[in-house]
Amino acid sequence: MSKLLENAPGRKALLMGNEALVRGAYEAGLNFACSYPGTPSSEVGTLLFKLQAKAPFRMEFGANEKVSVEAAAGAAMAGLYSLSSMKHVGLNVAADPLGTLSYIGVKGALVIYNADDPSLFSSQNEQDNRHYCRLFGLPLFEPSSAQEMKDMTVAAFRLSHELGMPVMVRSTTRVAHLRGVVEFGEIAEPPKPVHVEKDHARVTLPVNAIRMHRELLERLDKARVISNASPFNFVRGPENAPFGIVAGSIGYAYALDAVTSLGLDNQVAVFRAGLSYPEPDEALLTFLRGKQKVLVVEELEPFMENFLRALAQKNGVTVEIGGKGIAGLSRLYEYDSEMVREAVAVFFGAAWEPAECPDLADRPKLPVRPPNLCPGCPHRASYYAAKKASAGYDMLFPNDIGCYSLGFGAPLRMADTILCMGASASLPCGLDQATEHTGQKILSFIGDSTFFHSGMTGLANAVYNGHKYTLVILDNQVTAMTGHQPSFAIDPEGDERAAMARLTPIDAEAVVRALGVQHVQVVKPSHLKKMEAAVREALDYDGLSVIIAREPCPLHHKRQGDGKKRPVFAVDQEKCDHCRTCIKEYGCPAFQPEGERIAIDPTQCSGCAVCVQVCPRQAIRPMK
Amino acid sequence: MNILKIYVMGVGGQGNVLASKLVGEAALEAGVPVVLSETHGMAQRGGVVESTAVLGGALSPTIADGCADILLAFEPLEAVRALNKVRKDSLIITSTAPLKPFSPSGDDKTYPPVPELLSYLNAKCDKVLAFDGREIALSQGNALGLNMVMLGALYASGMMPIRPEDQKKAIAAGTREAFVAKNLACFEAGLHAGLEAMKALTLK
Repeated sequence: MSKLLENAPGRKALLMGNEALVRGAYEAGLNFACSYPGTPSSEVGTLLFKLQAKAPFRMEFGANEKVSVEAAAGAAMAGLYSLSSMKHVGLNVAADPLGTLSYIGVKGALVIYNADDPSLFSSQNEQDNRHYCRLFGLPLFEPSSAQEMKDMTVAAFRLSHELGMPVMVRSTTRVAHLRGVVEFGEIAEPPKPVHVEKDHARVTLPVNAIRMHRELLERLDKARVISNASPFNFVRGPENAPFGIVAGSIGYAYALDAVTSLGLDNQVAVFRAGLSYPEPDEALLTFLRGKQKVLVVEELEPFMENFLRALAQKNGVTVEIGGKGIAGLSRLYEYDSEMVREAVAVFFGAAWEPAECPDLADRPKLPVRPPNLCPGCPHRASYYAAKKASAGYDMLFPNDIGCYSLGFGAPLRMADTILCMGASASLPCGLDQATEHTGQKILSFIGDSTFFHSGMTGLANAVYNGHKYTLVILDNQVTAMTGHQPSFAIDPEGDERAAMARLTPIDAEAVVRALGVQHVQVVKPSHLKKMEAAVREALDYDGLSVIIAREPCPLHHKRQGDGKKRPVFAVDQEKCDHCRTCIKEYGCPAFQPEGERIAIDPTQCSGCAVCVQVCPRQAIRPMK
Repeated sequence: MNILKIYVMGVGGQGNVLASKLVGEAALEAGVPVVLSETHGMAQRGGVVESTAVLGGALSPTIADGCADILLAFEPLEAVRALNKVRKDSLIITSTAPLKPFSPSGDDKTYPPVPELLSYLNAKCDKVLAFDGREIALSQGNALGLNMVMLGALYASGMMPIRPEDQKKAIAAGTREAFVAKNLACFEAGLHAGLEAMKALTLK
């Protein structure tokens, strides 16, 4: 049994932040979770999905974040404890239900776990989702350690139930992916399902909603009282210290380390804002009074800093408040311990020496290691074939979000736009306002999971409004990028998890045809000639067309241990004339130049045999 | 307790994150305060993977430039790439076996010669332990054992506040059963290689 499910209060375990959140949800009495995966939140869904067989909760992967939050909201309206986890941009998708659910409230509990990504380790933007809490009225917890991830999740469920409103736990990549020691607590029984009572006073027609907005503000007032007294909002250090720091999330760890290492323990008190919205105004005001200077340490936006400035102004407190703009503290990217140390020293006038980094001006030029599509990835075959088949046309290749975004890299270069989940199906509906006149052709790429997430509506829009482009659905039947969560297109033959009776795979072809697309082809992309022919046919067709390039993710199958070991391939050095088509055009990382020669790394080769079709000299054959 | 910051640098697939996680498990067992972090967004797809282990009571899991006490590199090019993390008096432990990145230009001359990389490390840092970790792993019949070899060498530094015995317990408890014996053999071999390299360093 996973240690995450152990009934062992007091036991200490080393957990990743996301694992600690899962433990917290379990301790709080979780009934139901529904999530769409997204880094850095993905482990939460994956773990809950795996653990559910031996736990009292159920976990589902939802079609997208909006659907997931709505499903979780349904459970919470019915009196159950539910969770929905997502990455920051996922919350944009879920913003619609959340903005009104905060009016309706919940009977059980609903915790939204939101993982921001300062420094954009694996995202297209670094928006600060704490703003959603102010926008919609969601109480906000900001853990800074694995222990806090667990404890604050338990507290978030309790607060959500107590006030009858959804609550957010917000981490960042750093907090989600750190590991620390977590002490387990008691495990609460999940609430039992009860008859769902109708409550027409909470149906958000304007006649009710106008009252419910007022009720939301009343709930937030109560939440502020709780926030002022919360054990997650506390001061560390001497009460009468002349200087203060207000810190949230991982900034708290950086701030405390900075104060200690600079020897400022007697002069600087640190206000830990753990339940940071509604802001603990009275506690913060008490903290500000009597301080000469207060520094706010928070990554991304000046969320707390601007509140403190307003709070001081409103209450006539003359304290110097610093934050963004002090030393290296900015609205950009994640902080690190030195950056905060410098800011603390500079702001409070303490002696400070920068870390002595070696002078690397003479460092040799180092080749980079950009991530690449895996050897054997069917997306590479799709891209290679599409590129060949469309040579001679003036092409635009809108792309989308998933593993296949890596088609952006050399030598394929098959991603001309990436906006958000599903946009490759909708952007062409406006791009064509120009391309209709310029003669450019549009060939879009979208993964199966992304298609079911939000590509279907874009395609429906294209059918209805009569747009002409080709959408290639790269159907590897799994949500590969985030760790191989099941996609709606999952192949039940190839995946043991789909054997779970409740999962019903959906065939993308049937969906596309039902939406009214007239020209639909289904191809196995590792047959390059067939894939090329399909692309040519689609480009010649005067209308909207779809190609479903269907082939399972080999990495996923390998992890599942499907038993079939395909022979690896090698270069026949007598036939090879070193033209490098395999590298410079096809771009499979298993090919490695050794001086003039080209070799295939047998440990990387997946045996897909696509390169055999690529090589103009027929110099690639199975290794003996 | 002194704070010890270990920066682990490698390439996707080398088992970097598992190595630092096992340091964390050993620390927990030995009662040493620990916090770890990892950056592995697209590791599976051939990218650079970095992880950290901060022992001794600091709360910050990350290691800023110039702040690593030990740089544990699984690959010589990546050791040079991570040099901004160390000081002149830090300890670098690196495997010398290169793992060439895929070069879409088809040119294999972009990877600097390994001796050049090693002499650059030595020019910037006083203490460099370098050995072919891949070869040692293979000699123990464990092609995937580089991370255990490097973990062993970490314990040759004399800087670890954890006993090798505690680390071995964590390896036995935290790696796949079928691999435990081989992993422990790799750990021992790495410890030995590290000690030999330390000796050579003191003689220098």
